[in-house]
Order: sequence, then structure tokens, then C-alpha cells
Amino acid sequence: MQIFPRQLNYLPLVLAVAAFTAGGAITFVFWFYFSPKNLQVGYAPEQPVPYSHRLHAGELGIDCRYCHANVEQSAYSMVPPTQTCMGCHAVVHPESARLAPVRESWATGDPIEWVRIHQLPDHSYFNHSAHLYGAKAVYEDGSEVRVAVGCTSCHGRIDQMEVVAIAEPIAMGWCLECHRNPGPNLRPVEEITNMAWEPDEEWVSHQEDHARAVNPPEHCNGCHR
Amino acid sequence: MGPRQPPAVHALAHAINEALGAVGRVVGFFPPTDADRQDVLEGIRAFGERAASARTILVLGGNPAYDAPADVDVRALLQRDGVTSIHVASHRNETSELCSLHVSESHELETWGDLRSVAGTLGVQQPLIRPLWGSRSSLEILARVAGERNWRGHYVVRKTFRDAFEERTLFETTWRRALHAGLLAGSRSRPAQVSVDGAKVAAALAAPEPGAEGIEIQFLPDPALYDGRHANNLWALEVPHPMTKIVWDNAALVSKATRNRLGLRNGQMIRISRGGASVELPVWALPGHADDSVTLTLGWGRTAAGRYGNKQRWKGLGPEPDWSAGGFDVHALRTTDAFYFADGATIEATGETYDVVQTQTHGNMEGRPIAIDATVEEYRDNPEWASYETVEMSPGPLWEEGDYSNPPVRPGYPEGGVTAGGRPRYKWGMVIDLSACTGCNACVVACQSENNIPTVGKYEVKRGREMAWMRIDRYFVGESDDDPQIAVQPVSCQHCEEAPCENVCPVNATVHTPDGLNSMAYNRCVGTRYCANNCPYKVRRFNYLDWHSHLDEPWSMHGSFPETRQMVFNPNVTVRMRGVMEKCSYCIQRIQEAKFKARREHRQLRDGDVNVACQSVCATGAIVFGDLNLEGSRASRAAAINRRYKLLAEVGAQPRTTYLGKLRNPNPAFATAPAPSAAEGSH
Amino acid sequence: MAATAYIEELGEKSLLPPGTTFNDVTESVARVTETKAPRGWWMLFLPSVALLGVMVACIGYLLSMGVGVWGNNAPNYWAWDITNFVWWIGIGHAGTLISAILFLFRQNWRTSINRFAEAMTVFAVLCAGIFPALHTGRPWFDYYLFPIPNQMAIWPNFKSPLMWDVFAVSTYLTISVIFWFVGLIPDFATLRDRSKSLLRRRIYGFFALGWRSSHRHWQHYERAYLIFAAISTPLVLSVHSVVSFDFATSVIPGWHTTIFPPYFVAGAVFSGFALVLTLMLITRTVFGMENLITIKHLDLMNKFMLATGMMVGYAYAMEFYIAWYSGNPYESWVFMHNRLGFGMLDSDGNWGPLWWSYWAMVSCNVLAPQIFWFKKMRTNIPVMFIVTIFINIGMWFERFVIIVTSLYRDFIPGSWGPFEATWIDILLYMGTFGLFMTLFLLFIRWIPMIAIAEVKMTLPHAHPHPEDDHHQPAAAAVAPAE
Repeated sequence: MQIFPRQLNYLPLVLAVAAFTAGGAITFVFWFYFSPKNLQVGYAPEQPVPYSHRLHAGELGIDCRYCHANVEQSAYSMVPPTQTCMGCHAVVHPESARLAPVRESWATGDPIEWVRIHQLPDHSYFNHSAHLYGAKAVYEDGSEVRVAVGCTSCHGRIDQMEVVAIAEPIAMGWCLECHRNPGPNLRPVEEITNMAWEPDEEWVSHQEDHARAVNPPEHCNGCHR
Repeated sequence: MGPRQPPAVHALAHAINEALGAVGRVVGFFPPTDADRQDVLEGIRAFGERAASARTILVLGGNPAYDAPADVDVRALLQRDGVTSIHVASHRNETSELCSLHVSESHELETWGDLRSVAGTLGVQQPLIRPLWGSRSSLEILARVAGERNWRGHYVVRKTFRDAFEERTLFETTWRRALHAGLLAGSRSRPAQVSVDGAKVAAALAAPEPGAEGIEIQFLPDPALYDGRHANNLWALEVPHPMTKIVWDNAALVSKATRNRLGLRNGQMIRISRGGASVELPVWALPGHADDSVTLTLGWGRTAAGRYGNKQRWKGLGPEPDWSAGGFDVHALRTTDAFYFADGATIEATGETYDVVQTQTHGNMEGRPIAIDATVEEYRDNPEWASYETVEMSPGPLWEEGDYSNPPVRPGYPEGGVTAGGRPRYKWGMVIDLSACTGCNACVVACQSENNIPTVGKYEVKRGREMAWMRIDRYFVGESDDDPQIAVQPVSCQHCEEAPCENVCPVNATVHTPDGLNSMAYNRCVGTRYCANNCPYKVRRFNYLDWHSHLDEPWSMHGSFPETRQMVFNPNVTVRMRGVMEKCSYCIQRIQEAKFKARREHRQLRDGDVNVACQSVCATGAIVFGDLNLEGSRASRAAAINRRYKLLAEVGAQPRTTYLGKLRNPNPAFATAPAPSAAEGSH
Repeated sequence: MAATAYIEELGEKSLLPPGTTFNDVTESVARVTETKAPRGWWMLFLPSVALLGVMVACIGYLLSMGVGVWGNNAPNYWAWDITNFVWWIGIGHAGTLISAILFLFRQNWRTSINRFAEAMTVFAVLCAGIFPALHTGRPWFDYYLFPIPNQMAIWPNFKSPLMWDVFAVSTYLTISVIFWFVGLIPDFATLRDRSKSLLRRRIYGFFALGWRSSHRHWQHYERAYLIFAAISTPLVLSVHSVVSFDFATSVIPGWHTTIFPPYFVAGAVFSGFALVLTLMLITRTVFGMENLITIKHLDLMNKFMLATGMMVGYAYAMEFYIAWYSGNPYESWVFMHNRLGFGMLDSDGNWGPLWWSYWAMVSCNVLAPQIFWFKKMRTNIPVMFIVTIFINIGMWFERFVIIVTSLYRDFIPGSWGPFEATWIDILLYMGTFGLFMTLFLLFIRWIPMIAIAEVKMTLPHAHPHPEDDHHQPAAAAVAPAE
């Protein structure tokens, strides 16, 4: 004898389809919304001083390395000390209200508390100099060129950012995409700070040679110690 | 011979050196640098006498209240009425507790100073960091008290140098050069011309004083704590004693015969009495120790060493029992007339037992070819005897990319494991020479310091959870129980090319790098521990609990540390949380940093660019690390020496670490010539 | 139709007492779920729930403090945790063998015990699953073992036996649950139709999935059952073989042996039957099922245990022989010193300190079941009860011996280290019994513990036309001669 209405016969089917769809949806939600692409990209915290890269690096054309001087020598690109700022701002806009924190830092010796934007977890060890030193690529005809990764490849068009935001999901999978196929992300070492650089056909045709030169690690110890 | 031996023995040693022709070639005699230096024991006695009537006592560093000989009662001296005692020391200790004032002294690494070597070379001690706690060095305090206008360490040292250095011109240059080199070039004294007075030697040896009846006591500084100054240092507490492998305590070392005569087992307490004083500590039989003699190590049993070093009872975690640690103070038996050796002591059992913990409980190789040795004759007969005892398996890799003897190649890359520059890939390997290794534990501690390895406490060591990546296995070999020989073998991750651990990790936390390292990605490790089970060398270490906070905050799930504790960590190495497996990484952080440096300089790594931690501290150079593919590198040359063998080669893991067998050269004239550890029946 | 005698296959005739009717079967089994639980049930249930609480507390302690609360150390990185895992998984194999393999072999006597055994399989696998999930140092990252899309762009390691375990055990659990449930559908319908209250009707009706006992339903049921039996049969052999690979693929002497897959499977069936019997002996008496689970059933199960016990004994002997024959000093050492104890003494003249666990294993697993050679013993209930308990203890020791005696003294003497269990080891293991018994007692109380429909199928009334049954090829061939 039956106690449930006949339509309930479809219940298992409905439940199965719903479970499947829900499973897929939850997986997708986790996969997308919890991915670094979603969580990290666009993070643009407010800094103690309204420093504009668009003005300094873009309009004025100051090279990245003027301030981030360590980037080719060490793991860290360093944030410049107040001394670097005062190098210009002692005479450029010396009375500007927006530069007051800088002058105060200079006077007291307390560093400006910049908010760190690009930060990897403690178990990942990233070395800037390894990406910028300029590996020697040798072409078939014997000519050599030094290749490196440009600043914009990882940090985006900083020269167009009023407030620096994370442009790329600095996540392991994203790093591996390049490590597994570095060719498209390499440029001549002279052009690493050239924000507007685009490769030409000639350059693209030699991507394999460039990749072979940098030989990036794909094994765990490349970044994890 | 060291300061411990009596003059007669020194005389004999000088005579032997002269007979060997060593004087002037290997042994040099230099005029004393400190002309009015006093005999140490004389000095202690004199202090005892003068201090009895002094009103102010200034103690510069040290810990005399703890380690002074028993016949000079420093404790009483410091505590008398009307006495102002000032202790200048970097740590609070027993002396500070008794003194009226304690002045913070800067640590050695924070201070300026100077020193003169035995040969007379003048050296400069330079600080690495500014004093963390606003302290002053003894030098500065004395300079200040002495009324120097410029009393800061830098000026004082510089002034001393200026005075010592006659040429006033060029001083700045010389001073800067001395700072750069750490010593003043050319300040070495000229060796004195000496010869041995045979008659005096004979006379000294002619009438040795017979020792008193009874047990002889030998006082030794502890291999880890020294005189007790490192008692609060967790690394020192947990580094095992080189011979007994005891941790967190000391014991009275005797011979097996002596212990058996007393009817005791290892760990049972004995009372050693001499001249009215007595100490109680656990007995421990060390094979090869002399009969009727007991070795006592100093530095233990402290009461004001600090949180870790004090003799105390620790609370067990949860349902676990409490445990005692901190050793036993033996200074009551030590007097100025029996400073290094004492005789006429008696031993009796007290009936109690103490829990003595070792890191290694089994000291016999059971006939296995582990720490392989041979006599020189056997070596001459068969120079490759070691590799005959462990037959190396080379079955060939199961998978193409697993062939790390011939490192893997990426499609499009040059064949045969060659880099774009046309040279072979790096092939990291290590060679450990058992003939050079003394088992001193320097590599163990260096590794611990370099890699942020935690200490776990005595109870956890007892349960078998010590974390040292490098361990030194100590085996007793030989046929005679009374005269065993020691074989020591440092064992760390062998970085096998066919690593049993890599296959079985379900999450790929441990994989092989193209240059031959077995890498461990801590952040990926889930902690199934199959890798450790599968390791035939058992070199993997698991963080069973949160070791970094275990001793301080056992119940916290994630301890918090003061900044000074965090500063101890090497920032280039991940600090592991609980549940993560770790092991020797061939100092990957040093390899990486060297690689980065080399790339910046547009060159390949050269031999000597990478110095792993254990290698850099080994005093005898027993550990050699380097690129086996590099022609002429130290490591590749060492790995080709005929004494070579691979540990457990027959398992087929193809380790990258090569051992060089130990050679023994016993004198056939000695009564019991030691037999080598022949691995009969195994192949 | 010629009345030619046809060959009687074993198990064809029902083992139930003659005169048992369909109603007898239904009543005996359904009554348990419809009446109040006897006091004995409560006397077992309350302590079981308490033990379950102990288990939860132990798990909480384990998760908050770390694996260090157990006795595991270096070199014994696995000890009670994996012993318990393998023990529980092994227990589950009896149910699958009874359900699937005996079904394919048309052993109709299985119908009295299969529901019971399958339920135990499901609960045992649940208890087993706790251990691999929680024995990891960082259990919150267990999802790393699954090949799901991740931001790190890396796969887990399929070369690892632990990965194979993940798939084997999850497959086993899934198939066992579904198989068990499919078999339950007609019985839930029976209970639904007998229900007096609306709530009962609704609940049992929900799980009965609208079973009408129509021909079509029975056809689907039979086909599904057959398919599941076919799928489960290889699982009986493969799951524990895969679990044995955890050890067999290692290099450690004592683990590195090819005999493990058959040895483990035999051992699993052995221990599974033992626990099934232990619980069945109590249940059938307490709930009055002696007519459905007869002495003949118990006799057959004891024969199974004797057979698998002998296989296990053979494996022990063969391991020894090979350890000696191989001439491998490490292998011989593990057997002679670590296990046997007195076979090789260490340099201090001592037996291997864990020799007692090996001898416990041998006496419980090899000696104890030998008593089943005697029919009198095979049909004696108290004897059976005691022997099955010994067998389970012995099988626990077998896994302990395999794991710990191989690890604690392996290749390099400098790495040797003893193992000592902690309270948490013991309490957690006991706690899993609490989980198991809680689920099991709830099963007995609310779900028909014997497969009503299947038992009925074995009764003579279910085959009113035996000559139409399909196993008479010989008779059919002979018949035309008439």
C-alpha cells in the first residue's frame, strides 16, 4: 500500500540531479571565489602617503630601480627609505601638505609605515634578482641576448596606477604557468622596466631559446625551503 | 696534553715530541704572552684568602658561586655582612642571586675586545650587533671605572692597538686591515728555540706519587655545557653526549666491571664520597672506561641557570608523567688540590633509580656493514674493502625521468643532462670521511641552528622523538668487551636517487630535484609518515607536537614567542608547524642563495660556493659537500677515494652521500689489538 | 516432466528447520524492530554511547595537540593508528564475501547472515576510515590527497599506495552502502506495510522507495543485486590487497614481501567472520533467532574460519621460510629476533623485546581455530564465542606485529627505538568500538537484521515448481531419451 503520492517517484532523480548540480556549483564557487585570482587581484590598500606611481613612474618616467634599488641584487625589491623621497622632495614641493608624513619621517628618523601589497606566505621564498639578472640566451646563429622578466609581467602597469593594486594572482599555480612555459614572459634585460614594451615577431620566434636560457625550476625546492 | 694532566705527563710528552722530531715542525713553543700570569689554582686560592677580608667584590662574568672548587666557599664569601658584591654578567646565574648588584654585561657577540693567540697574534673581537638590551661589556665597565675618558669598547680597543703598534703612521690603514682580517698581520711571535732537558724529565718520572686507595675521580668539562655556562641552552641540553648519547642529564661514567662489581644497572643512583663531601648521581657504564675510576662532568645540577637549565621537575603533558632533568652538581667533590683528578673516593649504591635518557639505545652493529672500518693492513690488501662489504645495486631506473644519475632533460633541451651552457647539471653529493670524524657533535648543532630545528625536552627524547636532522651513531666494535673501539657515523638524509620515500608520499610533498636533492615541501606535507617508515636510514623527523611551544606553553595550539626567540630563527628556512615531516635538505637555502649569487654574476657555481652547515663547522673536514659533476671539485675527488662505500647500498636506494671507511692502525705491541668490525656472513 | 533425480548442490536446500513458513520468518525478524528493546539492548547501548563519547574526546585531544599524544615515535612512525585501520577494514571483508561471493556461488545459507554481516561491514569501514583521516599530522589538509582542481596546479602522487587506499576504501564504502541498501528495500517495504503508526510508515516508506513487490520491481531488484554482487566480488580481493600494498611496496624487511595480498585477504575474511560470529552469537540468543541462524549456519562459518586461519598460518610459515631461504640478514633478523624473539639474540643477549606480541598472534590465530577440526567444537556455542574473540585479538596482534616489529629494529641499529602505547592510543581504539557498537545496536533495533526477503527465497515454498529451476542441464539432456 502506498503512503506517498505518485509524483514522489521522481524524488530520487530530482535529488540526484540537485546533488550533482549543487556539488558542481559549490566546487565552482570554491574554485573561483576562493582563488587568489579573486581574493588577491585588485587589492589596493590605502598607504600612509598618497604616493602616485602614475605620476612618478608614468608621467615623470622615473625608473623602477631608482627607488626599488635592490631588486636586481637581492630577493627583496625593497621599499625606499625616506632619504630617497627627500632626495627630490627637499626641493620639489617642499611645503606640500600631502608630503607632510615624509618630512616628519625624515625629521624623526621613524620609517614611513607603508602597507605591504605583494606578500607571499612565509613558506615561499621568492627572489627578485633571479628573475632580473639577465640569463644569456644563445640563438642558432650564435648571437647572444640577455633575457629577463619584466616588472609588468607580475606587477601589471604600475605606471598607470594611482594606488598600487595587485594585478596578477601571485599564486603557485600562476607562477608555475610561467615556470612551465617561460618563453612568452621574457624580454631583453634592458627592457625590464619598460612598462610599455611589447615583443615583436622576431622576438617571439626565439621564445624557445629564451626559455632554455632561463631554465626556471619546476621542482618544489625552487621556491620552498 | 691540555691543562689537566700533571707536570710529569707534560714532561713525558715533550720528550716524545722531541724524539719524534716534531719540535719546530708540528709543535712550536712561543714565549708566554702574559708575563705575569698566575697559576689558575693559585689564583683561586689567593682569591679565597683575600676575599675573606674584602668589603667589595667585583665578579666579572663567570659563575664562581656555582663552579668554584669546594675548598673556596665563594657562596659564603659573597653573602657576608657588610660586603658589597657586584656581578657583571650577561645572564643571571647562581652568583648573581647571591650578589648585591647585577650589572648586565653585553654578550660576546655584542662587544668589542681584543685577544692574543698562544703564538702571539693580536686579534680584534668585533661585535655583530649592537647590544640588544642596552648593556655594557666588561671592558667598558672597567674602562669607565678606571676613569678613561673614551670608555666605549671601540675606542678602548683601538687605543690598545695603537699602543701596541709602534708605527704611528699608517695606523689607520693597519687598523682597518686588522678589522677586516680580524687579526693584526705579522704580530705573531717568533717561536722560541727549546730543547728538552732529559735529566729533568727522567727525574720527574722517576718517583710518581702513588694515588690514595679507592676510586679515582676525573672531572671533565661537559662536552655540551662546558663549565655550565650553556646550561640554559636548549641545543646544548639536547645534544647527546658523544659517547653515552645521554641527553638533559649527566651521569657518573664508570667501567662495566666497576658497575657490575657494585651490582648495579645503568641509571641506578650512587653516592660518591671523598673527604667528607659526597654527591649522588646515576651510574652509567661506558665500555672502555678504566676500572676503579669515575668520570664526572661539570656544569650540571644548576639551580639558577634559567628556565630550561635548572635542575627541576617538569610537568608532563596531559596524562603523561612528570620528568626530572638538569643533571647533578659534582662541585662538592672538587677542591683546588684535586681540580682535575681526585683520588681516594668511595662509591656506594643509594638504592634509588633515576631516569637517564639516551638518543641512541643500541650501540652494536649486529654484524651489519654500517660504519665500516679496517686496519691498515687490511686496507693495503684490499683498498676497496668497504665497497665489497656493501654491494651496490644499480638496477636502472623504473621511469625515464627518474634517472638522477644522469639527470633528466626537458624536451627541446640539450641531451644528456647538459645545461644550455654546455656543462653538466649540478649533481649535489656529500662525502663523509669516517676516518676523520671524531663524533664531536658540531655538525649536529650547526644543522640545528641553521635549519630552525626545535628541541623537544627529555621526556620526548625518551619516547624517541628528538628532531636533529643529523645524528651521529656511535657503535662499540671489537671482540673484547674490556677494550672496545668506537665507530662513529654521522647519518643524515642520503638524498637517494631512487628514494624509497618519494614514491610513497600521497601528496607529492617530497620529490626529486633535477640536481639530485630529495626536496621536502613542508607546506604540502599532510603528515602520513609513510616516507619516514620507508626510509631505510630512518633519517626523517616528524613534528609530533608543536615543538616550538612544547616546553614553554605545552597546551597552546600555536605558541607565541618573544621577538628575541624569533630572531634566533634562520629567515631563509621555513619554521615547521606540528604534523609536518622534515629532514636534511643539503642546506637547500645555501644552495639557492649561492645559485642566485652566481646567476647575478653570470657564471656557474664554483667549487666552494656552497658550504653546507655541517661541512662548515666540521673541525676535521670530515664532511665534504659539492657538485659531483664538476671536474676536480673536492666532493667529486673525495667520492672517488678507494675507501668509499654507500650506506645500505644493497637496498638499492642509490644514495648521494658517500662514506669513506675508517682506518685503524693498532699497534701490535699493545696487549689487546682491536679487531675490526668484520661483517661476517653479510654481503 | 520426468522425475529424474537431479544433482543437489550444496546450499540449495534451506538449512532452516522444516516447516518454517514465510510468516515465521517475517515475524521473527520484524518483531525486533516493532517491540521495545529488551533490557540487554540498553545495557549494551548506554556503555557504547559512553565509549563513543570517549572516542570523540580522544579525537578532540588528538586534533588540538597533535599526533604526539599517541605512542608513535621514530622509528615507529605507524603503530596503533594503522594497526587499527587495517584491523577494522579487515573486519568488513566478511560481510562482502558473504553477500557477494557466496551469492555468486549460490550458497543459500548465506541469507541468514548476510544482512547482519553487511551492516557490520559498513560500520567497520566507517570506524576504519577514522584512522587514516586522523592519523595524519595535519588532518585539515587531507583534501590534498584528492585529485580536485587546486590553485597550486599540482596532482597528488598516484604512485603512492596511500593514494590507492583512498580510492579503494572509498569505493568499498560506497559500494557496500549501496549494496546493503538495495538489499534492504524489500525488507523496509515489509516493515512499512506492517507499521502501525504514521511516522513509522512514512520513515520506512521513504527508505522503501515505493516498493510494490511487483514483478518488475523484483526483476530490477534481482538484476541490481547480481550486478552489485559482481562488482563487490573483486572488491573482497582487491581492497585488502591494496591495503596490504601499504606495506608490500615498501623496502622495510618484514614489509617487503609479495605474500601480503593473499595473506591479508585471507586474514581479513578470517577476522571478519570471527567478529560476525561473536556478535551474532549474542544477538541470535537475545532476540530469539535460533531458527533462522541455525547451528548448521554456525558450523559452516566455523569451517570458513578454520580454512582462512590455516591460510594465515601457512603465510606465517612461508614468511619464515623465505626469510631463511633468502639469506638476507636484515630479513632473517626481523623474523628471528624481532618476531620469534629467541631465533637470534642481540649483542646484549636479549630476545627481541616484542616477541610476546608475535606469540600472542600465533597462538590466537593458528592454534585457537584448530579446535574447529572437531564437529563437536564447531557446534558448541560457548567454545565458538571464546575462539572468535581470541581470533580477533590475534588478528589485531598480527597487524601490530607486521607494523611495529618490522619498524622498531630495522636496518640501522643506531636508529632502533622501542614503542610504547599511550592511554590515548588505547582509549581511541576502545572508542571506535563505541562507535561501531552504537551504530550496530541502532541497526539491530531499527533495521531488520536478517534479510527477510532473501531468507524466504530459500524456503521450499518459494520454489513451488522445482523442476522449472534452471539447474537441471543433466536431466534436460537425458529427458528426450524417454
